[in-house]
Amino acid sequence: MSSTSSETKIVEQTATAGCSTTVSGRQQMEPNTDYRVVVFGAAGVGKSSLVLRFVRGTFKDSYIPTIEDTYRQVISSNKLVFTLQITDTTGSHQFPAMQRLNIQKGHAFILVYSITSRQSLEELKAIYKDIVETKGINNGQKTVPIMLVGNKCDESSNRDVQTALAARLAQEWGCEHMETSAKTNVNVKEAFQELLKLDPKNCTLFSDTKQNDKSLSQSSLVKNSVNPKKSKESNENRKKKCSIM
Amino acid sequence: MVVSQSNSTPIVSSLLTTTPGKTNSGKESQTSWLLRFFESKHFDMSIAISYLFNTKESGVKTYLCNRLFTFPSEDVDFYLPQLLNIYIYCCNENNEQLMADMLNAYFRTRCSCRTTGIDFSLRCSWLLDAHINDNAKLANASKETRIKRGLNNAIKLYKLIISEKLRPEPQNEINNSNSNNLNNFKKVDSNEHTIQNSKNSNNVLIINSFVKEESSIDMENYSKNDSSVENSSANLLELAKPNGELKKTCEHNTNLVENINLNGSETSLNKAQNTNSSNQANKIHNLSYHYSMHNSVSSNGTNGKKFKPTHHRARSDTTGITNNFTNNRANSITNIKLAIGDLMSGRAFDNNCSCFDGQYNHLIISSIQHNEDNKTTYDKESSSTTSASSSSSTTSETENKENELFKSSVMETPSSLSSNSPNKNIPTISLNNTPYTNSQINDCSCNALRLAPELEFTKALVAIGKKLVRLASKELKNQRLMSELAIINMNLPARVWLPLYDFPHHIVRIPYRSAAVLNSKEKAPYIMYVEVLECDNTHTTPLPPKLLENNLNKLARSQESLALNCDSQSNLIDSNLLSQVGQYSPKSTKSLNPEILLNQPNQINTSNKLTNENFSDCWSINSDSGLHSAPIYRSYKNSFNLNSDNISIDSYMSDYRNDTNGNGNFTFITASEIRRRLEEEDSKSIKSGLNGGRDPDDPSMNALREPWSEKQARIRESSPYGHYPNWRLLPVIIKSGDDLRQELMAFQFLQKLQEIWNQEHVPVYVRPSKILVLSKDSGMIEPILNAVSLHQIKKHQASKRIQNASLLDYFLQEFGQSKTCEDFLTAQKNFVESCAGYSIACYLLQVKDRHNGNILLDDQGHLIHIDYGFMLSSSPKNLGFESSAFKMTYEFVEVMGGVQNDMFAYFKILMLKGFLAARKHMDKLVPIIEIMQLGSQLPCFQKGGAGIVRSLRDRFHLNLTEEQLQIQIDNMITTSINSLTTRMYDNFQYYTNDIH
Repeated sequence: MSSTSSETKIVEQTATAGCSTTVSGRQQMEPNTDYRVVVFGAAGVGKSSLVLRFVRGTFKDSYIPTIEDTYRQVISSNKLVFTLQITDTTGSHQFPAMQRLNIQKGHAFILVYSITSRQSLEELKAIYKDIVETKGINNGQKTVPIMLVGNKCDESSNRDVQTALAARLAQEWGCEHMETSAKTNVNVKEAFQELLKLDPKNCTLFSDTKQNDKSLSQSSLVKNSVNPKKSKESNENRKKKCSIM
Repeated sequence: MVVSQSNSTPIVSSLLTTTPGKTNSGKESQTSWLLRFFESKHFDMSIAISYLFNTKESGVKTYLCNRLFTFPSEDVDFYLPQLLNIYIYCCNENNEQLMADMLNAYFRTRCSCRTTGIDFSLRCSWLLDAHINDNAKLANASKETRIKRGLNNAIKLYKLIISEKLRPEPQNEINNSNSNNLNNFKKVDSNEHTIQNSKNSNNVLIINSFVKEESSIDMENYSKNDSSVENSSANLLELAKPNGELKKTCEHNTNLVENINLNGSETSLNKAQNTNSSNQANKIHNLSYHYSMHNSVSSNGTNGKKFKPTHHRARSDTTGITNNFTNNRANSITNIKLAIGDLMSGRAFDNNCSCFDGQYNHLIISSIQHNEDNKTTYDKESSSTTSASSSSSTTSETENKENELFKSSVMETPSSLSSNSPNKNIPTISLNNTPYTNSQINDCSCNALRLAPELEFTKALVAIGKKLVRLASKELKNQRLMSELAIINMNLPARVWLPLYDFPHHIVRIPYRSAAVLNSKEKAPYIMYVEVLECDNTHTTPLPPKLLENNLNKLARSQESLALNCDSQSNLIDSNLLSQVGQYSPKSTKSLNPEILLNQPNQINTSNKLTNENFSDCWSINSDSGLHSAPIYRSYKNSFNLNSDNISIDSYMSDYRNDTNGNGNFTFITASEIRRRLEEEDSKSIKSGLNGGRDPDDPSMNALREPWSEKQARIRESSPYGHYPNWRLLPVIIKSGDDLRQELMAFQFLQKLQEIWNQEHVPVYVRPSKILVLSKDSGMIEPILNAVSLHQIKKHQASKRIQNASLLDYFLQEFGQSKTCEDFLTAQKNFVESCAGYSIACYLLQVKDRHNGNILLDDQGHLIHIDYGFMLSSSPKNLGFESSAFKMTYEFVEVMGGVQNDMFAYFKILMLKGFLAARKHMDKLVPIIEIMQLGSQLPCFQKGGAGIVRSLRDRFHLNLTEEQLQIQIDNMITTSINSLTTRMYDNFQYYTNDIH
């Protein structure tokens, strides 16, 4: 439990640190205050279709393997408006480092399989294991909201994965399960909504923006030397203030 | 009237209705398929420009020229260099005269566009200027009529733009004649009225320009109310709101005032008109007018918000008169002459246009109002003192002013005291967003020069660079730069802006001490930072008032005013604070340090040989109206400072507004604030740990090293404009002596690539930095923030004697200690994605001179290539170093985790996908280069001729399948990593130029 709480804290720290730098500059930086959802799954199960259906409301039959794509969507949930950042990952290439990074950065995960492919469900097990390892789960209590999604439910004639089987797996993992179809727009929105509801921290994560002492000491490791002029100036400033005191 | 009306018919519509029909009927059989394509939704500007260039059919050309009008202007603007090139070099055959005319019509229409015309005109004129200078020799030498004709076209257009003949048609003309038909009968009435007025005045002027006519039309709005005094004064107030031509309304307002005769001001008005060019009398006129306005306001029971514009009514009344067209009182104001380009005048960028002036008080009110709730009473009083003191008119102006200052500062005391009430917070919330949405005045009616201020501004900046070249040492250069910028700063705020940045803004101040000369052997490019206020529209939003650097200057200026200040404020501030004044005065003398020239306004005064002792004269926007308005601003500031003092005693609000007081005014800082600032200093020193100590040889390092957000906060704190919510700091590099058109072309290419990759969802990264060509040998570059060059990283590592330090070590040091932590992985991912992007771009463009000084690394790990001085056919001294496809050192691979790592695999995939996407949209990329080759003197086109574009096309490898391409790219990567020539070039640079 203790390890999990520290994990989330670090996430929060980086979020605030990033925020302080981005506020002023016009240059587009990746805002770290986003709520990040990462979509994993085997190649061709319809991750991109699912995301595009949710974000843009569109669907295309053509298949273009994704490398990685990030979408941003402003969402209101629990009476709270925030930006949802959805990362659509690749299923066709193996980049463990990228996957690890995405798991580290992600706040919530959607694991997608195709109900027409048993294999695609099997492949999720390794990803789930990675998430658990990276995020850490103690006492059977999960820290990360995960949604198991069976896509392509419109193709039930080719069904290879029974709903019950996936549901059992979801229960075992302690996550939610849902069957969707990006093509016919079934349950897509609901899947994302359910996922956001899973996170109890959704309310608190964004409101808490206090500077943490820990971040200061952490970044002080980078400290090398001080610009003499600047330090002089700062001394002057200090003097000035002292004199006022 | 009728004539001007027919003139105003838009050219656009006539062209659009006539010519497409022509193409349809004439060449239907041949072009119908093409036409279907052109009319499909896939047809966009990039296709249009390449067809415009490639097609031989004159019908198609004319069609395309017409279609230009239908594209969004941003799309066309992107291709402006190409379009101008086509205009100059493609329209030379006799049968293409039509196309030249059509393009010319397009340019002219865009230049006289009401909203974007100024920007478009400027960009056109700069590019044309470069072309003309380029080819002047060539045209004379070659005697080729083709080139000559093209050049003549260019010169004609250039002169047309520069002479500022391309202006929007007067808007009211159209509006009134079209929509206000009901009021038509009034026009005669009002015309007569105007004529009468002008007869009344000393100079009888014939109404010959339609500007005048227009103003007479404008008058119909309120001429109907002429009979009743109350109504007309109410109307005057309405006119203060965005209603149309402010200038005109001013003129007529005064006319009305004359007629209405509120307070016997007519006598003083007449007096003012009779005494020619008398400053004094002019002032009386102003003030009495102003006074009467004031009275009308109060009689209407309006609050102070409405009252404020009347100040500016009065001001614009004076300045507006100076314009060079019909005016009843033109002879009385000869002392305000156009001073454009004269940096010593303090108004070098002021075109004396007052059409948009009148409302900037709204702006002030909205941004500082939170402590000015009770200000209105004060304003009324102070203005009445103003008019009272001036009506006596015996005292000299300076004395007057001192008086006003004194009085207002006494006056403000109660208001500032009372404004300490809790309700001060309420307006802040509502006004922090967009303070002024009411600027609907979008037309300048006074015929002032539209382009001159910006042209002069850029000219002044470029001139600095040219002056700096002659100086020997970097220290000298830097000092000179600061003093030169300080002079420019005197002329700000003005209606000038940085065209590099898309959002509308006004430059209000140059923090010249932050500027720095960049490293260069022969030239003197420099980086400077510019404070701007974001606004709705650069050309129509009222300018902010001039704010003095700080009250410190004022204290130093005269002991008298110091005493005055102390005196007036002593009833408020206890002795504790007074002792601070003493404490700060030594500091103010210290700032007289000759090291920084022109630091003190007094020095400026003497150097300018301005006899006027009153320093705010040369600092205010308009020296004459400054007499009138400056004390008011100053007293704003005074009271406002005092307010914040009060706040800080009760409860400290950490706000920029208070920080600006830290410069030396009476500030009370609490312990918590000090702790906060000390913490800030600590974190600053931590973050800036990157590059070690200050390097005297490299002043630019010190300027560039400071993280952007900190620089911004620091400058904002010390800026008198920092409290505006719309305050922004913008960086810019000014280059003189270099032709930036090649950079511009590279920027376009990169920008297009970026667009394509976004569209195709390939997550590769490029960061094109914007380029603005100002002439053949000068321009602006958008600096990349928070980035250091690999050279600087290496040099730093070397100076710290880290053995065998690599880029990976730097990554580990900067982005986290382990290779698995999130920050490092993110930076690594960014590095890979940017590396892929620039590898593709550099390969396609054959960018050379890729030494470590030209490769930057930003604070997120992105690798960014700069300096596209050598590309396509040219390379440094054409030695044939750098024979590899792109720069890919072993160090880069190491950062990616080695050849076996999956991040390297990711890099390869990105390269392939990125390449495929670029290949797919090759037809958008090649024309950017191809069209620019026409008649070009750019070094990248010097060798190879027609082969350049052919080999560019070849580099897209259209003949390869995806699998073959993958092999090809893998090969390119492998050979690049092992490239001997890359390493040789780095070594060469290390030994010859000391670039690590």
